[in-house]
Amino acid sequence: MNRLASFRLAGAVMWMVEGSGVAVINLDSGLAAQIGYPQAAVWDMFCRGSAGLVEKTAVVAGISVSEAERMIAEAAERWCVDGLIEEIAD
Amino acid sequence: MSEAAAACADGLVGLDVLPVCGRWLLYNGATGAAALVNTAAVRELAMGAAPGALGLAELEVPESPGECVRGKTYAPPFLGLVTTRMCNLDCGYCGFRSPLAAGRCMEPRLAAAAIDWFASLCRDSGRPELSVHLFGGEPFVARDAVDVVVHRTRAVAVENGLRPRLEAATNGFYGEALAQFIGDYFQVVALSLDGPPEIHNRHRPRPGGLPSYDNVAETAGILSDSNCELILRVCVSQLNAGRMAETAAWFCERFQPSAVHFEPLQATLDSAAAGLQAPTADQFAAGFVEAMEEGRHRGVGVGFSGSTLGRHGGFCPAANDGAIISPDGRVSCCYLLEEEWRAQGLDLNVGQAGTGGLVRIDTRSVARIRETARLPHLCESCFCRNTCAGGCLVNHSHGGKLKERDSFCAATRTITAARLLEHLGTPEMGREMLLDASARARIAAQDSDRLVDWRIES
Amino acid sequence: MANICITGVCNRACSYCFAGFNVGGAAKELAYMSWETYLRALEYALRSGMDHVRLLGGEPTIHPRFTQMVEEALGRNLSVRVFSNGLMPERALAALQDAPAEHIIVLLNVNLLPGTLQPDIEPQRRVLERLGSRVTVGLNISQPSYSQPYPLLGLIRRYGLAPTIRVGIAHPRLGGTNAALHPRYYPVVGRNLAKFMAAAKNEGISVGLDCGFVPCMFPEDVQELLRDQQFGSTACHPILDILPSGDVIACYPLEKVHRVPLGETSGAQEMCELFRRKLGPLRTALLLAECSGCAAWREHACQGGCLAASLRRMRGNVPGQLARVLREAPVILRSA
Repeated sequence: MNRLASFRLAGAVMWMVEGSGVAVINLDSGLAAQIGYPQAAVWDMFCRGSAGLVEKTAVVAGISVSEAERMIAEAAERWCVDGLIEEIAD
Repeated sequence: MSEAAAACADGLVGLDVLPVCGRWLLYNGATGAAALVNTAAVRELAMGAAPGALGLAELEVPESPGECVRGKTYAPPFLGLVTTRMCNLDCGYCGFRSPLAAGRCMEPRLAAAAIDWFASLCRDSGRPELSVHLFGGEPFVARDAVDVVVHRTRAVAVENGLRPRLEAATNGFYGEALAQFIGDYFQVVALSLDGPPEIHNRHRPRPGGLPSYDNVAETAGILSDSNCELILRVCVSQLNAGRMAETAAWFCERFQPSAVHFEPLQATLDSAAAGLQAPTADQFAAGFVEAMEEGRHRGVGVGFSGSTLGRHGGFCPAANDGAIISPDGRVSCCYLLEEEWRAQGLDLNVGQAGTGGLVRIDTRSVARIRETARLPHLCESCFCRNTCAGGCLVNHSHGGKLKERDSFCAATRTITAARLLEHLGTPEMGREMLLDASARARIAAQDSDRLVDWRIES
Repeated sequence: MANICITGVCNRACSYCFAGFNVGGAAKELAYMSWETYLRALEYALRSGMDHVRLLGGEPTIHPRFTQMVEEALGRNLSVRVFSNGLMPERALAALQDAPAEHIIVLLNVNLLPGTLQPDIEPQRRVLERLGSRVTVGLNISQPSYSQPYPLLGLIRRYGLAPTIRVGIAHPRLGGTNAALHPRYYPVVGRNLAKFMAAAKNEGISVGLDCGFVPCMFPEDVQELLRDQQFGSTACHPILDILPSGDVIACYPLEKVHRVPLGETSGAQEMCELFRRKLGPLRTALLLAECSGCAAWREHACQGGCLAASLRRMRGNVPGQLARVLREAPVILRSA
């Protein structure tokens, strides 16, 4: 299951590709975060709407699909707390 | 045989001399040094004077012949991944693809395994870079594989203290989102754009003959805005041979590329059926030199595969320990379709990659291909032996059995001479050479460019 | 220093112009700075401890009260530097010629003719002839071929101009379409400029680099030459531009990001700090993806290149957000 499927990028958030991951800025809070691999792959594929996020994350990270699901869920929770993503209203 | 002697026998070292507009162009292909001299200077050198004695120390032939792959372990300069042979265009001259209706995409796990293997190779050999190049078909048709390639390359590079380098050869026919993704992650993109719409659409239509220019031009614009090195690659046929300079100028103004590369169309059954004809050597060389001048005025490089100054071993991956992995996991040293090599009696497979993480390389196959890809005998006396090295093993030297110089040779020799003249600060001599049929004929007719073979009547 | 943009009107249309006035920039709101606003700008300069002001545009010399503005600044013991395209009215030229030479510098923007790369000085000739050593030539590089401006050395000799050349990169105007030098050309520009700077030095001419140059664009062996540069700094930091309306911005390329009215009591230090705080989070954006791993960036030898050029790499909810006013919050940098 892809936990990030029920999220979208928060309104004040910009990001860019960096040498070893991605850099994310929340203009509202002033938060500037660096996200390294393998979570950077999750971030990128999430933001670009790539299909098969869980399966591809598993391959990129060299882990099983269930481990990838857990990793994605943990990342989603953290990014939500940091105000980088927000839940899509029903 | 010592490595130095072997290199000499290969013709890798030694000074070359070429007649250019009443003077002589001296060239040391091993170091890239060149000089323009008169007959008296050539005579002195031919009689044994050291270049340094004539104030030409930069032309001294090095004692060490430079890199020689023989005897060393298999060392691909980059990992080539053919993510798919499928393509979303129907170019009249293409020899790399199968239509979208057939073909397969590389399994993401296979791509990851290949990257892991190559990363270990790079780390263990002390290389700073993990260089992965994507080919096709149209490589970005295999989007799942591409996503994994990009992120696995970057992740593994970080783990191994390597610098990731992603390159791709692409047709640019896709949407803005994918173009932005490519611009964000790829260091070098070679985008095929054959010129203005009427040329590009004739050369590179979509299936059914529909135009592709608008979409490809938009992709070029997006990639131009990004920080990737954008190389615009132009295939030259009789249709656009007379417009190369105009194309280069327009590309520079419109897309701000890092470079514009021109390649002459390779005549095939497909190209003939499409009504496309290759340019003559003179047409291509003349057009190239004029395009080079347009690029120089704008600070943009203009390139041609047969003539890249400073390169050793040519452009053919078969001659350079290539590692190109196809969608089915075969590891070969050529991007062309297997049936094309087989038609020349060649077997360019060197191993097999599997999704389990194992990449097996057959060292006997590597040795065999290295032997096959040795500099053709005909090329040993050509001053382009370092930079061109016989060209494509399959389509040009036919397995190293090049028997006589052809139009590719003629164009390569003329263009390389013109580039050397530009490098020496005398580009106008290159133009003069191109306009003078007898000057071109002298270059073409010279059997051996080697100084040791120079005679006054040359 | 204070950049006072006294007019948004210009009588040229340079393709690289990042002031944007001729293409609908903010200064279109008000063509000419009022006298009252100008006086406030001078007072800001004085309470900030500055000894000179820089008059910009558009073309500043076509402001109807330009000569009075110069006199007023000189009268308050402020030297004046005028950034001009050289197409100035006679009254402006006469005023600059009559003013004390030691207190006037005209930074004359020279464009190179495509192809020949000769300076297009016909429209500027009388300024060169009459102002001579008060003129410092400036060049904006919007394409790589302009990074070999050897004809400028002859120009300086011929007209007895100040033995200095100010070189700038044509930066992209955020949200604009001006001709800008793409970062992929920085290495070739750096190599060309390094050779040019060495040649200029041999002729006793120094070359000053404006903002946005990055160390990695230059060959290793020219670092000493880089330290000789006189103008500003290669860092991206706000000098602050005061627009004709009296609003203050970080610079023209970042005009859309943040602007505040010029206060009655604040000085340059306070204003710079305000902008550094507001733009701080955005400085996460670096010119190239590789910059974050670069030793020069980590050791603060490089500030990451032009921020406007860097922001072009941004993805996500970019449009609309750049104009938002940041809340007062500390910048937190951490890994996730």
